[in-house]
Amino acid sequence: MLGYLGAGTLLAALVMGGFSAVLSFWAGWTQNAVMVQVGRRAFYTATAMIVVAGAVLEWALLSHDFSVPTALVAAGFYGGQEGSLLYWVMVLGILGSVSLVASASLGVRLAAYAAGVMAAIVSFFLVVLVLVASPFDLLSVTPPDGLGLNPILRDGGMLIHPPVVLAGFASFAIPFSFAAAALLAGRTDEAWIAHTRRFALMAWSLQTAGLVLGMWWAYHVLGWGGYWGWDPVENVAFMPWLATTAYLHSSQVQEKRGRFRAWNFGLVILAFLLVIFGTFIVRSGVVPSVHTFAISEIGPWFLAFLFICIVFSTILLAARSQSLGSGAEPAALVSREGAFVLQNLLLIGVVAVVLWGTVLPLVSGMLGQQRVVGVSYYERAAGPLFLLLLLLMAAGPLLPWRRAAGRASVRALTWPAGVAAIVLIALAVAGVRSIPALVALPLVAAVVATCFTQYARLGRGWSRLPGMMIRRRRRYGAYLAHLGLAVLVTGIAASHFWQQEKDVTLAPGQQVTVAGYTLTYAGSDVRQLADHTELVGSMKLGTSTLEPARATYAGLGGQSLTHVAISTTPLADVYVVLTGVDEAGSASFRIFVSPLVIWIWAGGAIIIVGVVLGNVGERAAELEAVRRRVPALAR
Amino acid sequence: MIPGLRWALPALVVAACVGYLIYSASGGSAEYYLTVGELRSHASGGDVRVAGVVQDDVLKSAGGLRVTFTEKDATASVPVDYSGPLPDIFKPGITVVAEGRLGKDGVFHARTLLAKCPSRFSTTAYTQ
Amino acid sequence: MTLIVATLLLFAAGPFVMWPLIKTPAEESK
Repeated sequence: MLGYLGAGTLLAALVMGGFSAVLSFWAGWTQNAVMVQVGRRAFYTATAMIVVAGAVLEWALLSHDFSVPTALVAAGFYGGQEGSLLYWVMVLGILGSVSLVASASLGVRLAAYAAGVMAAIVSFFLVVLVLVASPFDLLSVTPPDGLGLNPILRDGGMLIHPPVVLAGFASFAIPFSFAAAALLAGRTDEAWIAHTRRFALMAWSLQTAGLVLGMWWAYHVLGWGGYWGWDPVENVAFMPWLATTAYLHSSQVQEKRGRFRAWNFGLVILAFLLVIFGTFIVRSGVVPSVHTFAISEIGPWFLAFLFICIVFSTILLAARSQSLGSGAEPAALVSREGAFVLQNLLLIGVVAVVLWGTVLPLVSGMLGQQRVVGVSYYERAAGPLFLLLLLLMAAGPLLPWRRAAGRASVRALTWPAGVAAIVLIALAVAGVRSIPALVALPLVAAVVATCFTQYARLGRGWSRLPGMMIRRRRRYGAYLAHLGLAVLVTGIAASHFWQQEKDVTLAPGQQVTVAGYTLTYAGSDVRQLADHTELVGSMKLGTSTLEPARATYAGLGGQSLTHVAISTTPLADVYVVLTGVDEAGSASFRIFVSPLVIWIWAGGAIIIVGVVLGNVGERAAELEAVRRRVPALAR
Repeated sequence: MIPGLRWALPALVVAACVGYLIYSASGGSAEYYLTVGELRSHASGGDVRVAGVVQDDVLKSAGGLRVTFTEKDATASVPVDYSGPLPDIFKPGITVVAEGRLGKDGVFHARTLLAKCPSRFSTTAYTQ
Repeated sequence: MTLIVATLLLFAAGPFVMWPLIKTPAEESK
């Protein structure tokens, strides 16, 4: 019964979405303001129907008795293939509706086309949901044992990570839609950027949070001591983030200076295409991955959609290429603009590196013997690019707009350069010999120094500082985000370059020392819990006890799961995995000591705080500034 | 004048650098990804990856840190020898990807072992 | 059954979606 309700609602949403798309495009073409409103309302209605379908799905899940904790059942909504698509289109519909509400001020045509593009994207997803992958088909069949959510996935991180990542993907369709609409309407000015800035920031923040949450989950649950494996699923979430990062910076140049139009259109389109491409790769099974999603028939649909989007975008860009120039004299090479161009190029370079590594199995498989790249490929190819990006983060903010850097810039650079030199000497003295470490860490220190010099420029007296920070919060929030990134990169560098690992088998009472931390094996213990047995091997570390365990789920075919025990301090994580206990009571462990891991999570949090703090309120003033410069904005 | 022509040269330089980085990095570390059946006929000397299904003959020793099992795909099987932590879902019937080398003794010596991560919300009931 | 649900929903939503069209002629004819 619920199945029919849900499927019917989705079908209605599809009809409404298709209607909205067709009508909005026609109304934009004929500049019929009344029909534009009808088209928008159709979009809102389609969104409402999608939300209803989502509620039906959630209700159906919650009212089945699965003998699995409620939170996990609720998470089943986006956990399955079909449900995750429904979740995606729901986020897209809701955010899209919000973005359309105030869009009339952009001009009839631009607003109409934006609604049309968004409705078209929503309709595509609904076509797939209705025809190929309906979440409501699943429910008409009651599984015998309930849907045994795999224990490896029964974890807090796995509850939050997917919806955040998916929302990050979905929300990027909004800047894309407005960009496409701007190109369609021949309005290459910054109006679309100002209008969608919030959504772009939200998308970027969600993607950042999604990536960090994924790393955190992998680290805590998977038990291999690491947090990133360059697996296709990870890469596919990373590439849009890179393009979005470039777009966020580059679009500021257009907002402030009216330049980089071609770049911004290109980057927004690239980010969106990468999202669709990534979805195709991950759900079609064409590339070998550790993460198997249920390989389904939706792959070819996404491939077709990707192709359509590529063709559509290319035609648009080509048709409007004349109006993409800002008409002004190009800026000097070594200027703030130059730094942003280099940033765009480098970030796209990293996308190219990651993309190649991800599709190599597919391409090589088609041409001959299938090959895959290892982790060292990514490190060797992308590493230098990341280092250059760090350099840009340190030097870029100190360069002048438009003119070439002169003596004033060189003077401004002495602080970051000096700090970098001090860190370099300290590392060398401490015996560090790894070239990447000797380059990366001083550069990170330079980035921090630059951020602080920017904060210092505010201070003409400490009492004025808070006021200034609030008034110029967009700028200072951004530097806080840069500081957060510096902290995160430091955490990654330290845990990457200086992780130590040891495999050991201990009898009760025996000790082992790794990187200066001494652990004593206290003995093992078997505990019976509700649906699983736990074999615990207790280790004493100083005054605390770590309890790494192996959990066995008899009801699921004897599957076992590692519970990692981690002792975290600001300086390092001691990470212990129990690999087994033999008949004599000796336990085998794999122990990692990873420096500064908590800096990674803390850095991620600081980034988000910086973005949020920097962008609370202030919308009216920004839009006013853009309106003054863009005469075409209707009022 | 095309706007931004000034940037064409730096862009080309960056593109060339990126191309060089990709080329040199993949030369060293790309591995062949084979099925069990292709393993014996594969000639090259480097590490390879093999995907297959774990059979029933899993032998663990030294407290779980070393395991021997046979990996089989549709056409052939190969014994695998591996030292290190096992993926959590490791048991007969699952698909694994082993990375390493086929030794002269006909045994595949695996350096790393990855299991395919289960689908998030599986509708297939687990069987014994 | 699915089609019935869909059709009912579309009819129910009709007035909301068409409101700008309904509203404008009414104003014009005042």
